[in-house]
Amino acid sequence: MLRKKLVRDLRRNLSQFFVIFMMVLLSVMVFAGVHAYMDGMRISAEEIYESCNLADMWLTGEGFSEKDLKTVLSDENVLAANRVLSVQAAPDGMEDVTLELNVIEANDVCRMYVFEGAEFDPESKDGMWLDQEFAKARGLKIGDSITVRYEMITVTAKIAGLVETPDHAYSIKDSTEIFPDHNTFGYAYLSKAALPEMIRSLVPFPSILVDLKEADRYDATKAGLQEMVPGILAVTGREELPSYVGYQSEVEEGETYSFVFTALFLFIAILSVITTMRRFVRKERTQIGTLKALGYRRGRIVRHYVSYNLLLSIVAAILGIALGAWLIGSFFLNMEMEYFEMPEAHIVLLPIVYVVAAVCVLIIVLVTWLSCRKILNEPASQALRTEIPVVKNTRFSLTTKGIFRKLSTVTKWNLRDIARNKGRCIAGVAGIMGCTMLVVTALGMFDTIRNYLSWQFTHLNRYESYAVISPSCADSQLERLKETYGNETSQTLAIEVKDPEPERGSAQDDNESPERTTTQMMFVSDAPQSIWFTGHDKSRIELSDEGVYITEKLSDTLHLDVGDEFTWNVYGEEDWHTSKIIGTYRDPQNQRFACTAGYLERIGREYRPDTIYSMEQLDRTRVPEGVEVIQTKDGLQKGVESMLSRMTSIIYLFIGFAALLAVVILYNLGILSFSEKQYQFATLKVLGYRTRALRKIFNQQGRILTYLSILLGLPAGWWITSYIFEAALGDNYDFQAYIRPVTYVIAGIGIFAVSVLVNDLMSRKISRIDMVSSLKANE
Amino acid sequence: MNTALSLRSVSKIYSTGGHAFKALDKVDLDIEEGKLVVILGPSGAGKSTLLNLVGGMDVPSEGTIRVNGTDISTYSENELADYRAGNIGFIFQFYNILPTLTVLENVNLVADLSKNAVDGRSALEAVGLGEHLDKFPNQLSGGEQQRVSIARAIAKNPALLLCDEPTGALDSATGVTILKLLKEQTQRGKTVIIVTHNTLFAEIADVVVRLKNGRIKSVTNVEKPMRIDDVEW
Repeated sequence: MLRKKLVRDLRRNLSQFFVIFMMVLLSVMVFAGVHAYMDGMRISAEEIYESCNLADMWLTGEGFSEKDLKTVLSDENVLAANRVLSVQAAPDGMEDVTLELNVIEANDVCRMYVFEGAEFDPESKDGMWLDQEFAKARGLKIGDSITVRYEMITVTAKIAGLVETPDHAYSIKDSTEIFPDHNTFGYAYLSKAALPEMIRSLVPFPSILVDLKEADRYDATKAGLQEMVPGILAVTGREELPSYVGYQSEVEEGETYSFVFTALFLFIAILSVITTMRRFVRKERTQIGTLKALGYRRGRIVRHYVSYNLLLSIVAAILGIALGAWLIGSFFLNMEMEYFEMPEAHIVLLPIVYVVAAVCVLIIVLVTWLSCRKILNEPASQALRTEIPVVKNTRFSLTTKGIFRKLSTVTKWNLRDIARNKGRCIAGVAGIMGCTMLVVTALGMFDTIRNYLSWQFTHLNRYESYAVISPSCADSQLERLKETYGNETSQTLAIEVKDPEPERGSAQDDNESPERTTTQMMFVSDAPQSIWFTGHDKSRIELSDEGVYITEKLSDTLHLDVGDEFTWNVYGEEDWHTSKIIGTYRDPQNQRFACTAGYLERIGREYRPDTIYSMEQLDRTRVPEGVEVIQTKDGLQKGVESMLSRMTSIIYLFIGFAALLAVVILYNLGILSFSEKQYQFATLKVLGYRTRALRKIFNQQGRILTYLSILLGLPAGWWITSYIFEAALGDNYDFQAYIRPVTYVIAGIGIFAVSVLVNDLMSRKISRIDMVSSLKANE
Repeated sequence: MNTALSLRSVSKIYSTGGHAFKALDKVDLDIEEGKLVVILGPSGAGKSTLLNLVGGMDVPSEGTIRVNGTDISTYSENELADYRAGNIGFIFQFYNILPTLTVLENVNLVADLSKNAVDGRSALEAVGLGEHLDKFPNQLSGGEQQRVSIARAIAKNPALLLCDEPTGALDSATGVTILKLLKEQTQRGKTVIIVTHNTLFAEIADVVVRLKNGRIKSVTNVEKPMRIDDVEW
């Protein structure tokens, strides 16, 4: 019988229970959704890294011989190793497209995952295995012929397979790009046999991909190989592979906001449970007394009232897991997979999701019990008696003094009503604050990215195009390029920096290597017009020839301040230099050292540019000799625009969601507020107040709470945006959340408009108050 | 004496679940100004319905109600609100004062509504609550709360005071005080209509109206009503 009562009560109090249901659903859905795609990305990657044999180590040199390869393979911890020549080539007939061409002899390490076509054939003379995302974006299919040019060499091959490789999960052209654009950049594999016969034997292989038997013996193997193969200039691991790092940091990013939003929704759910259940049980007080008088045991009655939210939260949690995984999880996974190339990426629901869902249900049940236990514990005789409402006037004492005395009676009444119904009001404020926060965060993310892009691409990078100079470019060719494009150049050096304070960190225990080094980059600029440097406040600083500059973030990491000296060498070289830090600067995207070409020459090093900048739009299809690739700002801009347009759809989703949430919360707040005040409104109506005046009074409270929520929500939005960027951005990035004032205005007005609309709709109920029955019901 | 209230053929029919229930059936009644009128009758007789119609909280299904010569039976919702604001003072069994407003604020609530409103302080002083202006309702006894309710009603300076079981929730001594306050109002020219089950009220009334099954059973004009203190409550 009580079950029937439960169903009917739920139906009768639909809106209040619906909010509890929605909040539990949302908190579980967000957690399940974010974890489904995040864990899915991680586990999918682990599976692919394992099955496709992602390299554990990358050896870099000027060119590795077959003998070097054999030596590497002879190491007892090396399972497999492949030589690779990787160049950036331009395919014929495709404007603004760069193809990373990988020439390999075998494919044991970083094996291709073949989507369509044949497996890699090392003997194939005309086969090309092409990045399937690139093929999809460019409309290429198996059997299509592609001609690629690199310097003097032209190779024509037919697409034999559409593939993805684990080391290209995050595949960008160069460090100036942030998001992959499959339309303008892809990668392809050719067997050595596909190269023209006359150059086949001359091909230098500057990389060896190494698969280790035991990855945890990385350091020892690295040391052994460096000793055995003198041509090794650098050894890097997965942690230095941009593709691997980029993918991993994206996976960790979700962790940041899943917790915040789950906690927020759960908090609102708890407050909704407290307000709804207290009110509901108080309303049912006489019924509880009757049930007790009839002989129902206290335990059974407690179970009955707890079961309302137990039932709701179980259904909400199950639905939350399902919808979270299949809606949010799949949506975000698909979106991520537009950036990352991860075959067979799938969502995964780990036990933690079920545990969190169960914890949410338990919390709701516990809060329900705590909210109603006082009334449920009353003896039957007391429960059957009319409850005298308790109004603690001490709560209102503040509003009878000072400036409050000057407020209108109606305002005082509303303020005191808020103080009297704290639970309901806090739930409402938290909810609206959450919505405001969502809107500010959504728009703020957009602002931040736009601000960062403007800093990077308008303020710092002032060139229109740049050409990457080939390492084999002769001096005479370089001079000709300078004549053609101008004299603005730069060189980026991979450097090793001796730990300036070896007693700090882990190095202190390492007696065998007291001079620990870290790998860093040194940007040598001879392009004062094309590349600008900015100080802490983003104002321009000009580099002097007197020393080395360091980015602020790297300065904090390495504990190197202005005036400090540090010792460094170019990776793979013997000569060490000691330089003085003469300034710090900020770079949103690259944390590194910087100096001028003049300084480099002053310390006795030759300055050999690897990039040449131009203030003109260069023709990317006509790559001259000595140039690897030409990149234009226009091309970068296209990538940025595509990324921003993708972001816009997420922002709309966020805003739509926030608006829906605001409507649900405000509606519930309105219903609770209305039913609590119905008899007071009836009294005022009897006294002669017109409906319009009463609606104004009702709306005033909604507005006070909305103002307060917006006031709290705006800075909270900034905080969460800032938190997301701080937690999600890798060490290489240095930019903070930036939210334009107009964004706050838009968010505030938007939420306020929703609030006014919902309040207005709710206040229409006042005209339907039947004075007689409302007053009778109260008696 | 002027006629304060005149009802002609007033009926009120409620329809619930397809059934029509006649709460008042062709009631005719005239009440003169400045009288204490007591309406008696068992539950379901139509007492409260009559009070609600006169108070403009409800509209009759048939007939006309004239208050000081004005027909209110065809008033719109806003006109009825203005009528209640300017002409009617209500006193309820359970006081219906707002718990989050102080005593003075509760009374001042009506000050904006009525053109003839009297100062809230004087209204409260008149009912003996001059010392409790800044107290909240829960700091007062039941009798004091009812006095706030009376002060709120008289602060409007209305022509009609409508009381629904005004002493129903009070002990007899406090009830006597309240009745004395109401009687005082008639001496100031106001018409006071009290709806009650308590037949003892007939002893102090100027006019006693008895209702049964929605109809007027009798209307008695009492020549010499008893003094309130002389009635054994």
